[in-house]
Amino acid sequence: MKRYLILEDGTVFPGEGFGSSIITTGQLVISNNRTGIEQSVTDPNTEGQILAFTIPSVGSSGINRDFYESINSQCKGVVIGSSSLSTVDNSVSFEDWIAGLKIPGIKNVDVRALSKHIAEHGEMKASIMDTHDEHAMDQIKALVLPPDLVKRVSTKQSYPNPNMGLKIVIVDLGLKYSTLRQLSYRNCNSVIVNYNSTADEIENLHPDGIIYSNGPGDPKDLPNTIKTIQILQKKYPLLGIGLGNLLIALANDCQIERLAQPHHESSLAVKEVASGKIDFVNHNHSYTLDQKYIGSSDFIVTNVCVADGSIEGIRHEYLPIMCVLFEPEAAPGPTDGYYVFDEFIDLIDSVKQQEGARSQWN
Amino acid sequence: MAKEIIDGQTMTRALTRITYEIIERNKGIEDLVLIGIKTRGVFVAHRIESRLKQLENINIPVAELDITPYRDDQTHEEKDISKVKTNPLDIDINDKHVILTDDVLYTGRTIRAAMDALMSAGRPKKISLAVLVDRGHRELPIRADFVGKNIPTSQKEKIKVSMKEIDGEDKIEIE
Amino acid sequence: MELEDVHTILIIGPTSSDKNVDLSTVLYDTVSILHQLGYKVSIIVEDPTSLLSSGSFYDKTIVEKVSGDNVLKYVQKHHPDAILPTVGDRNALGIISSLNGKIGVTKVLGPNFAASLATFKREMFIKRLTKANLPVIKFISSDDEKEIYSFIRSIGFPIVARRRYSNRHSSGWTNINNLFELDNFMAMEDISDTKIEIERSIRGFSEYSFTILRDRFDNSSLVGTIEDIEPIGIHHLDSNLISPAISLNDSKLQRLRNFSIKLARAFNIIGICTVHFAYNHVTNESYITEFIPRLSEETKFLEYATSYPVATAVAELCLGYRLDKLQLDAGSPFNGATEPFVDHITSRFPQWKTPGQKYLGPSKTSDSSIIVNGFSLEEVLNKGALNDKFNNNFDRYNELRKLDDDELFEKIIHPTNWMLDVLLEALRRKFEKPVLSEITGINLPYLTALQNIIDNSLIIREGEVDGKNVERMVEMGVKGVGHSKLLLDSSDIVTKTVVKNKQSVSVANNEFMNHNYFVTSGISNELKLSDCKKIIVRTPIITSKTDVMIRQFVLFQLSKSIDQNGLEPIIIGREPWNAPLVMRRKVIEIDDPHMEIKGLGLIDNDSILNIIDLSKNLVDTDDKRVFQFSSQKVKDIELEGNTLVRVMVVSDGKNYLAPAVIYRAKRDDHLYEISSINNFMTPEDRADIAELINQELEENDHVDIYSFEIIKNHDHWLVTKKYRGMTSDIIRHELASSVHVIDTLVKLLLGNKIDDNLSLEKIFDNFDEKYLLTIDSKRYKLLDKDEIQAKLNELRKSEK
Repeated sequence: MKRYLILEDGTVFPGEGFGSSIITTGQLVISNNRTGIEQSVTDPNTEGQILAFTIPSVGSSGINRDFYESINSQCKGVVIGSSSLSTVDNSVSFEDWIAGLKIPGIKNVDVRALSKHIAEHGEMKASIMDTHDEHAMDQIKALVLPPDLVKRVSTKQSYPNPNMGLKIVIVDLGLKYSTLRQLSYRNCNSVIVNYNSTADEIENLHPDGIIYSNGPGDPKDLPNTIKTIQILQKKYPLLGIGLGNLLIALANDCQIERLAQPHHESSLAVKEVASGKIDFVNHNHSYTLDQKYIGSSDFIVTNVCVADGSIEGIRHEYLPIMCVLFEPEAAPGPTDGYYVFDEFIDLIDSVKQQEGARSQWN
Repeated sequence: MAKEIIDGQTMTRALTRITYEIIERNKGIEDLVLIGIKTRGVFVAHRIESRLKQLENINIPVAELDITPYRDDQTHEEKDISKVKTNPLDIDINDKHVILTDDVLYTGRTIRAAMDALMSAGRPKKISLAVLVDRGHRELPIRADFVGKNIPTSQKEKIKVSMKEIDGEDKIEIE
Repeated sequence: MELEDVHTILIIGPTSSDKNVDLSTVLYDTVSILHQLGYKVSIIVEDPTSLLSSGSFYDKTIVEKVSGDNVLKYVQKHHPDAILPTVGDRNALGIISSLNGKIGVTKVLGPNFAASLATFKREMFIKRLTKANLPVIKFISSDDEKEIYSFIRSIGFPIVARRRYSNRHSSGWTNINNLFELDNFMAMEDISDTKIEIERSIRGFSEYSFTILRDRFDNSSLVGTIEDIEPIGIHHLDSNLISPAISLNDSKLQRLRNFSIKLARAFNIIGICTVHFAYNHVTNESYITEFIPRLSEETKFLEYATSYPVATAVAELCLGYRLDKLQLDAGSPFNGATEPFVDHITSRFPQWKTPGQKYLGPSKTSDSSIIVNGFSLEEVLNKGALNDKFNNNFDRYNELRKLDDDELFEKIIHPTNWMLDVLLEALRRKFEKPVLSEITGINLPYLTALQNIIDNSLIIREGEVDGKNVERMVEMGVKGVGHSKLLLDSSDIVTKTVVKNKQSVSVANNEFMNHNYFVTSGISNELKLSDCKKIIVRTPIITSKTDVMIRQFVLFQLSKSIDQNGLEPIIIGREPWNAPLVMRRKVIEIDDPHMEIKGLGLIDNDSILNIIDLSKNLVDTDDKRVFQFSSQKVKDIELEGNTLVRVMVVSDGKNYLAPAVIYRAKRDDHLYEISSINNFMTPEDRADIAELINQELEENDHVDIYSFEIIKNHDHWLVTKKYRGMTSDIIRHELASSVHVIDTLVKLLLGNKIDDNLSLEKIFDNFDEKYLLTIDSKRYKLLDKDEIQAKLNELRKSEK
């Protein structure tokens, strides 16, 4: 059945509907992930988003529940070019899977033209509809994207991911399961808490380190979380990922800015400034840190994106704080970024050693 | 039979981490001086220096220290102070924070000899120690401030550090 | 940053074996960037006509058998700082492995001794990979029965086995699935004097290939992935290839990527490394079957598929450059640290010279290939393997229809190069897809794509293409529908035939301008042309290797000439052509397998000055701007002679130039050919031949090129063959004169004229400084003026 993807600025892209037949509107994000459809669609970051995948023959690699990044999908819609109804591993087809998740989809769209348009005109809202008349345009223009995206995806109730090692508290801003997988692999005894948890609540868990996860939306919508960071950072080692990174930066008088071309790719090169080493990592962020403020701040830049020179990682000069804008847990994407978790653990260990040494000499 | 226990990537990441820690624990690094103990300690010093340069855009002086004249684990017959040449340190360490660097910290005697050499060359404000590997079994009260990796070993085992600059590749083996 | 102590480099060039794939563009790019970066490059090569006119870049061109001895001789005499084997095919790696310890301080760039040796020595390959914890198939070679059976017990069935004889030859691999077949195999021959080689069978596993670029600082990037439609058991280059590998999910992709990087690290390969995998999607077993630490047919394919300048990057990486600090040319920096993102499918379909069915196996049988682009599997299949113009699929369909089910089944079990047509027929007869997939080892998505194609061809045959399904037809690459009235009359926004750029939109793809386009389906066109006037060059499908080299040379020279004359070259072909990097950014290249460009009206007719057509048969003979480049025989007199010349002539309708004269002499059963002898002709010869040409061209009144064969018969010259157009002689003149011919042609097509009343010296003038002596069409010598004069004198003495 013919459906249309209509953008906020009036551009129309024809295609064929699949999945749910409802009309949907959301922030259109062009994803250049080479693989990892399951991960992308179930990523809590997709709250309120319509995801457009630019790879060809979507679905032929199969759908595997093992690769979910959250229990369900928050995605508002998917847009693809060609799809394959068969898979190499006899799993459910992509179209059936999307239908099962009750997400509206549109296929056979000219995603090349779409991604070019967005690259030229910037990210914008879009709708998947059955007609493209004026009524449709009014509906899109009227939609205001909710400012509480993190509230919708953050866990309401704290829950543990128990293990025998370091105690890590993760502030869930849109946490992906793969982050927990990486921590489990390193035996971290984790507790995952709601984004609005107070400093006291977190301190009562006696963490060895605190992680602020990636998440959807604008960091400026989370003033309380920023205040909490300002309190906690004086006492605990912090790791900020994506949105977490932006919040920590804002908590320390840095400014953020939108990227000229947002990073939604499963494999983009990031250079570690200290050693010059290039790693390929997963990116899913539209913001970066404003270079002008970093110089005068107490942060040093630890990673930059090779392609466009934007800041991808920072570290505090004397507090045990490290942050990255990319997704070190991959899923999808190359696993070159796993070292970030090892680095965080080393950071926690060295802080402990310091405290131990300090208490000895006092 | 040598067995690789730390590969090249882990080794370089450890050096990067040491660099971050040096920045974190020193409010300002302008008065830092890196002194590497020959031979591989010098490479460790240079690698830390190049990372500091990339991160903070500042040139930290690096010098080499040849401590063979000062080692106390040579037998008395071997060591004859009058015949030994002390190589002068070619940078000024007065009032500076010296970070001594070496590849492996073991009994601590090499470090003690290094400190003797430093003291006779000037009066540093502070001396810190950065090592790539701490293998335990200290015989003197000496502690590293920055450690790449802690590797527990038995005294029968040998730790072999290979560095690209001189051995062609980076790795740490135990045999 | 780059290696400090390398200034002079010896490149080990390709041999002239027909089995080699054509790497001329890759070689050109390699030498071009090294030359621009200031390195002194020499090359040892067997056939200098394969150098694609890069001759001026070399300090020394050694035309000799590319063997270990000759390379060693060069090294001992000239002491180059380094040897680069990446463009010399397998032979170069063999040479490198034999030079271990013999070349003193000369460095080996790219793959070192160990890596080169491991591509030949199975035991070393397995040992190194096992040590690095990489998955490799266990293998045994033994004449000890106990050892053999113990090994079989440890790995289980299915296995493959072969015999290795004492003279180093071996039998083919036999598949053994059970004890019965094992007993049969062991009973076949006596075990004495032969070794039996056994390994786990990976027959039916899916085949993938990953290509990694790595710099000396251990930065690696995955440049491209390829998957085979046909499984292991059929040679990689006889299979239909798809890039990127769409059937790999994230977990599989990252696993194989990590293995590939680990392998490159284990051998410390700097430059490029392609790793081949066998993967079983049911058991998730994966094995590395081989690795190729050099440029190859696959890397050439990936360079086109991803638009990443692979050859240029590899040359620089081998010289020690950092992956993110490369140069496109001396002065344009470029970030090579990207894993190119491709949003469409590029596919390579093998081609065979003769039309019948051929059984396929582990050894390569195909002769050439065709590349197609598309946004869906159906589209690339329809434009490529199932494109009747390439493969006579209608004939195949008719033949296969006649087979009964059993005969058809036999063709399914024993794969042939008609596999896709066989599967189409099987699907038509409602054979079940999962069963077909299980037997053939071809993954389901391909079978489903074939099924979709069948369903659509039914619609087309029944004449039921309407407003509802026409867009699907266009998306599937069905010819002729994309600009039909149905679509053009529609008031809605519709999917139609458009032209898209090969390069996708990605944060990292912004650096290099790409002008490779392909005709496909979509809602908008991306063709960007300049304001200059244009000359269009149309190219046909090429099947023979010589023709491929000729096409490479001709297209390259035509583009250069057109560009130098201030116009925009547009190359349109039924299959794509990747220009050497230096021209890639100036030439508009469009892949148009269904020849639909004309109907799209995207190129303003008034801006097209000329159309040069390289096809054998012209389709539009009424457009006055069309110039047919390929040759037609106009005269053929059966006359043999021991001495003859072949002359290439360019005429403007009134006057002509003959810049290329080849001399051929048959002496004592050997055939000697000298190109060119323009500067050595006697005034009498010039006058005689000029007279003959004048006669032949009397009726010619327009711009044209001719090729003459003129035999010396009892002191007279006689024209025995006349061709209108360019013959394969053009490649003989890979030196200056051919370039001159093409350049003159372009100038004449643009309206320039040859001066009147030119002297004979001026007519036969050419700029060659080095001359090519070809012996028996397979041995070559590159000689200077004096040496050629001496040879010519010798040959002339025995003229009859």
